[in-house]
Amino acid sequence: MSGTARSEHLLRFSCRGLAILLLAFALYGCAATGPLPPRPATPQPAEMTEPAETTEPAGTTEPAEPVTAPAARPEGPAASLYLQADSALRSGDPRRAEMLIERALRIDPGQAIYWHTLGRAKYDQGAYAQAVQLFLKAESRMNAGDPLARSNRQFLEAARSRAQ
Amino acid sequence: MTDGNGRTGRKWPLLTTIIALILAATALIAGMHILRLDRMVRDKMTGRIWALPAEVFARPLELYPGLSLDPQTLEDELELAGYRQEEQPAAAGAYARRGGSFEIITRDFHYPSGLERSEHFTLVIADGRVRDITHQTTAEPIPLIRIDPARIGSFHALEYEDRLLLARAELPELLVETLLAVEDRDFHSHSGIAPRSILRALFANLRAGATVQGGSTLTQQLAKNFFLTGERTLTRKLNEAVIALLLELHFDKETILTAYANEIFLGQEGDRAIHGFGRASRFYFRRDLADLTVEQVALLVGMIKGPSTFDPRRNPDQCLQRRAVVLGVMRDRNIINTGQYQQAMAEPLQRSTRVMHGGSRFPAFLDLVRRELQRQYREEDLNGRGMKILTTLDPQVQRQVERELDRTLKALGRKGDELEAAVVVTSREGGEILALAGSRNPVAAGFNRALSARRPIGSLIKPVVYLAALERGYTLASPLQDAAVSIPTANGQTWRPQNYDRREHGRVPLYLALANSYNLATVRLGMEVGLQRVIECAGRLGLPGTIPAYPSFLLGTVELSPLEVSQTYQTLATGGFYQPQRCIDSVLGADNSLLKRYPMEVEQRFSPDSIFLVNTALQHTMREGTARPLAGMLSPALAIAGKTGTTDNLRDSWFAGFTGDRLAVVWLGRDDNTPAGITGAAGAMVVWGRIMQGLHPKTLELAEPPGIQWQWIDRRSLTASTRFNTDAVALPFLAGTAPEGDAIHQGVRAVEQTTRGLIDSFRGLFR
Repeated sequence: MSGTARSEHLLRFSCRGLAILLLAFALYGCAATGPLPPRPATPQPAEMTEPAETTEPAGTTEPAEPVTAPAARPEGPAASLYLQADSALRSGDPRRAEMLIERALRIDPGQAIYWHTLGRAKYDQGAYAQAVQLFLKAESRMNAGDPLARSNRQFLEAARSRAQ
Repeated sequence: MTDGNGRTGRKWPLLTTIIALILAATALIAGMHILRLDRMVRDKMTGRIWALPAEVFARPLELYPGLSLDPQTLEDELELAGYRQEEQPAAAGAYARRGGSFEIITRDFHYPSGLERSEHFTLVIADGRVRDITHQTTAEPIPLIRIDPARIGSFHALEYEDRLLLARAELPELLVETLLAVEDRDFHSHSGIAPRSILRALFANLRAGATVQGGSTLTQQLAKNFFLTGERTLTRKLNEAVIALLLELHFDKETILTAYANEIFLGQEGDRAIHGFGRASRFYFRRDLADLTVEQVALLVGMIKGPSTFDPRRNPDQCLQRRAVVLGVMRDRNIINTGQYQQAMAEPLQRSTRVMHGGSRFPAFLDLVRRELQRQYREEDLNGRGMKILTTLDPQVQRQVERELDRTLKALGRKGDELEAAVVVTSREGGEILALAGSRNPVAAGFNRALSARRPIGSLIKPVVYLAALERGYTLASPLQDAAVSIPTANGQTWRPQNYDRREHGRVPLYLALANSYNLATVRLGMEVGLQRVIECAGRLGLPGTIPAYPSFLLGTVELSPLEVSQTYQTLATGGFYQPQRCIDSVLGADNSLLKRYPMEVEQRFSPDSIFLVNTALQHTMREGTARPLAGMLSPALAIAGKTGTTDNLRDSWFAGFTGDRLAVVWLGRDDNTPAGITGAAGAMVVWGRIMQGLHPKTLELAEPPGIQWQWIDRRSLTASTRFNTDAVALPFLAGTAPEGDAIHQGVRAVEQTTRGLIDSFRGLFR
C-alpha cells in the first residue's frame, strides 16, 4: 500500500470506526467555511402524464418522424397557454401554437418543454433550421434524466436531417 | 353725350373692350384659381384626411396568481393604458380599487392570435403578490389574464397630429344632432355657405369694428381648418366660401360631416394636437365616443368654439359655462329631455373628465421602433395605413429606469449634474427590449444615446477574452500572471498597459482576474489565446462590424452603443444562444389582420459549458470583484452576473449585468468625451443597482450543463482543496479538468464525502 493510499485508508477507518457521529454532525454543521456559491438549480422538468400518449407518425417519409412527447401536465402561470399550444399542434395549427407558446415563454422562459414546443411549432411549419436551434435551447434547459430528453433529441435529429 | 366729331362713339367700344378684357382676365385668373382649389379639395378629401396614424402599443400586462406586483404599480399600469377609475365599473376600460383589491373590466383587443373579448374580473394583491383572480360574476378562478396594452405613441403623416379615424356610422347620433344644433342648423339644406348667417355676422362685426361673430357653416369650418390657414383676411374668407361650395359640389353631406368630425381641432398636449371627436373622447374622458354621456358630448361640442378657452384642464369655469350653454341648446332642440338636462348640469367637471396624459411619452423607445419599421415599410405606409404596432416596452421597467436615472444622477452631486446617460433593459431569455433611455431626461426627445452614441466599452470587453480562453481549454482556476507586459505595435512603438490601481497582482486564478478586471492578466491571456480568436469570439457574441486586430482591443478600445453592448451580453445571458433583440412583437393592419410577426429566434453559438464557466466568473465579480459594492443594494443571493467598465481617464462609466429575468446595460459619460470623472462601479453600476432594486429581480440560476464538476480550490495555491479551507472557493470545471489535490486533500475530501453520506442518512431518519 502506498503512502497516499495508506493515509487515506487510515482516515476512512478513523472516520467510520469512531462513529463519532453526533460530534461530527455538530462540527460539520457548525463548521465555518468559505461561502459556497449557490449551485445553479436546473429547471424542474414538466411532469408527464401516465400512460404516455403518443401520436401516430404522420407518414413515413425520410427521415422518420420523431415520436411526439407525451402530453405534459406542466405547472406554473403559463401552463394553460402550453396546453392550448399543444392542442393547436395536435390539431395541425402550428402557427397558432407558435404564438401561444411564445406568450408562455415570455411569462416563464425557464421551462424546457415550452422551448421544445416552440421547436415543434417551427418543425411543423417546415422551418427546420430554426427548429434545430430551439430543440438545442430546450436541451440546454433540461436536467439529466428529463423525461422530455429522448423525444427532444429525436426531434432535434429529425430537424437536423431535414434542414440539410 | 357726344360731340360733333363722334369721339364718344369711338371711346365706348374701346372702354368696353378694356372692361371686357379686364373681366375676361379676372375670370380667367379666378377660374384658374378655382380650378386649383378644386384640385386641392379633391386631392385632400380623397387622400390625407383619411390617413390613419400608426398606433404604437406597449406590451400587455400579464396577470396571474403569484405574480410579484404591488397595488400602486397595477394602478399606474391601468392609468397608462387609459383606464378610468370608477366607484362601480360598468363598462369596458374601467376599474375600481379597494385597498389591494381591484375590479377591472378590460377592453376588447385584437392580438396577433385574434380578438380577445372584454373580461370583468376581480384581482386581489396581498404581500406584494397577486393572490387570486376571479370572474366577477361566477367567482371562478382565472389562471392567467392580460390587460389590453397602453397606447404609447403614434406615427402620422401630419407630424405632431394625433387622431382616431371614425366612419359616419361610428358617430353617435347624440353627438351629430348636438353638433348641428350648435354649429350649423341648416347643414342639410344649404349648399356650403349660408348667406343669411354671413350677413348677420357681417353686420355684427361692422358694428363692433372687429370680428366678433362667425357665420360659418360646418362645410366652411372644414374648408377653413383643413384647407386654409387661420388668418382672418377677405381673401381667405373668399377662398373659404369657394372651397365650401366645391366641397358641396363634389361630396355628399355625410362625407363632409364625417370629415369634419375627424378633422376638428379639439386641443393640444405639448407638441401633440388633438384632432377629431374620436381621439378627443379618448384624451379627455378615456372612453370611446360611443360611450360618452350627455354632458361629455356637450363639453366636446362646446370646445369647438375655442379649444383653448374652453379647455377643461386650464379653464374649468369657462368650460362649465360653455357646457351649460350647449346643454341648454340640446334641451331647447329636444335632443335631451329636462331630466337629462338637469342630471347633466349637475355632473361635476372633475368626475366627467379623466384627461389622459402620456402620448409619445417614450421618445427613445419610439425612435427605436420607428427605425426598425423603416427597414421594412415605406414612410407612407407607416404613416397612413392605420397599422397597430405591438411592442415589447414594459412601462413598469421604463418608469423605474426614468425614476432612478434621474434620482441617482442627482445623488452623485456635481459630477452627476454634468453627466449624460443611456440605459437598455431587456428580458434575459427572450431578448425583448423592455425599456430604453436615450438621455438623462428620457421623457425629452433628442439625441438617442442608447442607439447612436458609440463609445469605447473598456472592461466590458473582458468576458469576451475570457470566454475565448475557456473555449481553448483554460479553466476558471488556470493561473494567470498579472504582471507588466510590453507589446510592440504596428507603428513601431510599444504598448504598455497598466492596471487601474497601477499595481501588479502576480499569480491569480483566471476567474479572479476577470472578477477584479485586471488589465495585465487580461492582455497576457488575450495574447496567449490569440487576438484573432478573441475577435472571432466577439463576433459570435454579436459584436457588430469588423474589428481591427490591435492588442488594445483586449482592453475595450472598440466603440459600441449601449444597445450593441446589450446585444453582445444577451448571448451570454441566454446561455450562449444568439438571440436578435426585438422591440416589436407584431404589426397588425387597420383591419386587425396580422401583417408581420417578429418571432423569437435563437442560434446556439457557444457550447453551454464555456458559457456556464464565464457566467460563473461574472457572478464572482459581484461576490469578490469590482462589483462588490452592489451587494449593498441587492442581495448576494440573487447571484447576479455583471461587469463594470471604465475607459481611459474615466471618460465612460459602464455596467452590464443580468439577473434571473433581466439584462441591463448602463452608460454614463459626457457628450463632448471629456472625462466624466467616475468609474463604472461608482457611476453606472449604482444606476444599474437602483433600477434593479425596484424591479423585484429574480435569482439568476445558470443552467448547469451535464458533466460539470464542482471543486474547492485554494485561492493561493490554485490546487484542489476542501470546504474546510477558509481560503478556498468552489468552482465549476468540465469533467476531467479540475486540478488534482495532494494526498491530504484527497483524504479530507473522502472524510467530507463520508460524513456527508452519514448526515444524509441521519436526516433521512427524520423525514
